[in-house]
Amino acid sequence: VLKAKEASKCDAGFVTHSSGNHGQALAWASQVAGAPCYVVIPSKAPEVKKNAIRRYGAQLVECGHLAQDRYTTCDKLAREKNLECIPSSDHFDVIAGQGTICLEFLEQVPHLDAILIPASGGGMASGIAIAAKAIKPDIRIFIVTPKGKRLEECLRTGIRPWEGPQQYLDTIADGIRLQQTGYITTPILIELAEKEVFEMEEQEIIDGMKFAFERMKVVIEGAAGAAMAAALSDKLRAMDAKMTNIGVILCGGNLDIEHLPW
Amino acid sequence: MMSNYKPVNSVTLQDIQQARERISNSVKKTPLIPLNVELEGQNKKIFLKLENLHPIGSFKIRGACNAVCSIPHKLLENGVYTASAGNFAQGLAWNAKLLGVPCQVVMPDHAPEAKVKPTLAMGASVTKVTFDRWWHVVVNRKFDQFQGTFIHPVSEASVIAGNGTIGLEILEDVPNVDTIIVPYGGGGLSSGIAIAAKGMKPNVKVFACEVDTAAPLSAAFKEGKPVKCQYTPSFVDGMGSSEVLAEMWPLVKEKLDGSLVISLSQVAEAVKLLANKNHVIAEGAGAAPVAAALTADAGEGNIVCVVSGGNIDPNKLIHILQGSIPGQQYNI
Repeated sequence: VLKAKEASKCDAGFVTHSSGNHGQALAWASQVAGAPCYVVIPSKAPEVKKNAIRRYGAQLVECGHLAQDRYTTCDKLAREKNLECIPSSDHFDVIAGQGTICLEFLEQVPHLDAILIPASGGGMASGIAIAAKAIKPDIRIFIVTPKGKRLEECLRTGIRPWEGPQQYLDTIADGIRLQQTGYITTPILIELAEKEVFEMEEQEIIDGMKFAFERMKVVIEGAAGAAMAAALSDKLRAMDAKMTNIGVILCGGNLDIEHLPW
Repeated sequence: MMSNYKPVNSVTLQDIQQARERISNSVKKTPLIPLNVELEGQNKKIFLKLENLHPIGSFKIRGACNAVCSIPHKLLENGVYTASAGNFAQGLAWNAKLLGVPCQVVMPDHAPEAKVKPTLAMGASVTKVTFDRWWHVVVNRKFDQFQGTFIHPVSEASVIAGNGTIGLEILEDVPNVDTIIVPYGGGGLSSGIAIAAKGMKPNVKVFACEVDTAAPLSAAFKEGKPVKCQYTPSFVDGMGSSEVLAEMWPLVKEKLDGSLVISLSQVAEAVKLLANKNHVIAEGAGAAPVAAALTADAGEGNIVCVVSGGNIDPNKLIHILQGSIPGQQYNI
């Protein structure tokens, strides 16, 4: 948002499509920058995320339940109202912004051996991977996803395995539901991420969330629960014993606390 | 070890600065962040000092660390011990384990498993005695069966100095702080923070906070001396007793600007607020300062709340998140 403002690219405002957290972020950033903001969101997104977007002053536009509906509705709105589109992951400035997480992490823990990163479109994972490898080339970047994403296949073959339009995965981790990673993000991940992907079961995601609540005293949503579970998994334990310092990205805490999944 | 007893009134700002240096390898500075709540039309900003994020889930790690690291090496061989069923037991066990020093904890025989288990898990040994015998150990600072150094969970100069490091960190992160609100259990936390904060910024206000089901400090301030008051156990099991400790009264009387008293339902609401808005888990005592900060009595300006701990029973937490107040529970 700030870069677009500097380049005077956004007089009419911004638009995006999002499962919730990017929408909230864009709404907040637009409010800070004093620009109008529209967020296209699936009607089934959690109320807590929708309410937050409204509270930051953005206009919510609900779309259909198919994953592809997000893109088509967003494009249409952008054209109709001449809005600058800022997608949640396939945008260089967004990727760069997310990458700042890694700059802070390595500042605080310079000797990280590996980082576990949840991925949906892959924007955060790309940003962190670029920053991490530039600062510490031998660091290992592991992606964490729900079951059914086929990202490992993608990383191993170097070719997009998905056919047809974007799909949603069936998972309680509503922040990482996209099956396909983006067109900008996928080549970055193919180049920089480890080929092994942590695909977490639903119960593991729930256990990861519960662990953080009870042992770390932090409230995390499903996507972060997946990363937490990956950190505690036998799969990680069985890997290279020299990997002792593991970074875990607890990417978000926006969930309905009145209806916890356990 | 009565001969080594250093009066609590003797703790200075310098002791606290030394404590900070001493504990810096083992205990990390905690985050201080704004409370994520719109305060329409009010002239105040509320901040959270997140002591619940320490490895043992409470601030007690600081005092225990400073205490253990202050003991001369030749005495450390015999180990350390304390009388506590609460968070201090875990604080001492954690730090003793880090240094490879034996640790024993004396607990009253009805101490809940939720408190015994984590202490054992950290490698300490637990000895259970009757409540009267346990209270005797607390008051006399000695348990004849043990050889090691006794560390009192509250009225121990090195523990208070360790607690005070929180005050230094607050002043660093919010140099223009006007008020600090601290939960009141035994008085070790609030007095330590007050010595540090007022040492750095003399006109900062430090308020204790208590729940109306057990508010001995506000009663003592009213009467001008410690008095026995009504004490009802509740889900807020990290603080609350029937009387201010005699050896703590002169210190807290001098250093604290008063006690803010809130209700159980205000505390429960604050627990829910912290989970919802700031995405952190606080136990009742930890959320109490936030409940107090939201009232008019807390005044205006920059208010920092010490979220002292996050060790709440998961079932009680679920009740609170779903909007009810957990039932009465005997506590230590």
